Amino acid sequence: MGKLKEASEVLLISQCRIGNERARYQIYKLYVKAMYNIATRMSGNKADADDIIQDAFIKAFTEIGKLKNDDAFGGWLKRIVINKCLDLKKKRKHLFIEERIDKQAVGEIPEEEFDSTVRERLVHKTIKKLPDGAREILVLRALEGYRHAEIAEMLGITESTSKTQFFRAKQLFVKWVKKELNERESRKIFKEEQAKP
Amino acid sequence: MKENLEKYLKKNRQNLDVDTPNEEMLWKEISLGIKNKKTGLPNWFWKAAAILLFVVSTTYVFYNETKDKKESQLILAHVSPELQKQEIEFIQVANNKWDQINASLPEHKTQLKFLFEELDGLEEVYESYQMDLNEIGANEFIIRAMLDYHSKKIRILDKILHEIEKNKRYESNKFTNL
Repeated sequence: MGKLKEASEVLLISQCRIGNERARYQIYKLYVKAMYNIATRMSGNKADADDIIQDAFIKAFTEIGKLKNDDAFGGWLKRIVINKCLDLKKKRKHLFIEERIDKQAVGEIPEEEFDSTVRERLVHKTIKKLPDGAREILVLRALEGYRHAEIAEMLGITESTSKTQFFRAKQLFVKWVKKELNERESRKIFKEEQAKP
Repeated sequence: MKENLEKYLKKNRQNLDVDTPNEEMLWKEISLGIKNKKTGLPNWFWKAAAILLFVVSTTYVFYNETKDKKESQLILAHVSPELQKQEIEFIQVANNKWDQINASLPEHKTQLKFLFEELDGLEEVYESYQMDLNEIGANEFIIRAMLDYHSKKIRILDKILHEIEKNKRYESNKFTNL
C-alpha cells in the first residue's frame, strides 16, 4: 500500500473514531471485498459470510476505541472477521475431526504437487468445498499466514491436530481439483465427439 | 506447470478474492446495526430518555418564550454523571451572568448587538451538535465541542457584562463632568 493511501486511511480511521458516517462507509468500501472473501472461504458459503461481515463491521465501528494503532486497522478487522467465523461455527457445534482419524486419512492420500495453471475461481470454489476444520485451517495457515500454534489456540485444538488437518486439507484440495479438471476434460471431449458429423 | 500448493496460494492470495459481496445491501444492515448498538443500553432506557428529553425541551421552549433569558438545557447529563456535574456548573455560572445582564441591560442595546449576534451564532452551532448527539450518539469530539460551547458562552456573557460596566462608567463620568 502506498504511503499516501496509508495516510488517507489513517485519517479515515481517526474520523471513524469520532463517528463520521462517511468515513465509516469509505473504510467499509476499502475492506469489504477482501473480508467477504475471507468469510466465504472460512464458512464455506455466502449466506453465512453475509452475516459474518455485518457483525464484524458493526463490532469494528462500535468498538474502534479499542484499536490501539490506526495503522493496524486492516489486521484488527481481519481478526474480528475470523473470530466471527469461528463463533458461528461454535454456535452450530461443528466439531473438529479427531486427530486419530486424521492420521488415518493422511496415510491414505499421498501429498502431490499442484497444477498452478488452474484458474483462481476453481481454487476458491474448491477451498469452500473442503470439510469443516480442514477448510478453516487451510485458510488460516496458507492464506492468512497464521502459525499452527496460533491456529491451535484460536480453534481450541492441539498444534499437532492443526498440522495434521492442514496436511489433510492440502491433499483433499489437490485431489478435488484434479478430479474437477478431469471431469471438465471429459465433458470437453464428449462435446467435441457430439459435434463431429 | 506443477507447483507446491502452499507457495501457489501465497503467491496468488490477492487474485483469489473472486466472490463479490452485495455491498450496498450489507452496508444498509451495518449502518442500521451501528445505530442500534451505539451504546448497548436497553430499549426502555432510550424510551425513558426520549420522554425526559421531550419534557425538558418543552419546558425549555416554554421558559424561553416567556422570559427574555437564554438558558441551556441539560444535554450531556444523559451521557455520564461526571459530564452532568460539569454541565450543571456551566449552566449555573451562565444563569448568574444572565441575571446580572438582565438587571443592568441598557434600553438601547446597539453597542452590544455584535455580542448578542455572536451568542446567537454559538447557539446555532450548539443545536447542530445536539442533533449530531441524537443522530450518532455521544463521542469524544461531540462532548468536547459541547463543553467548549458552554465555556465560550460564558466568555461572551462576560464580555457583555464588561461592555455594560464600561457603558455605565462612561455615563457616570459624563454626568460628573457636566
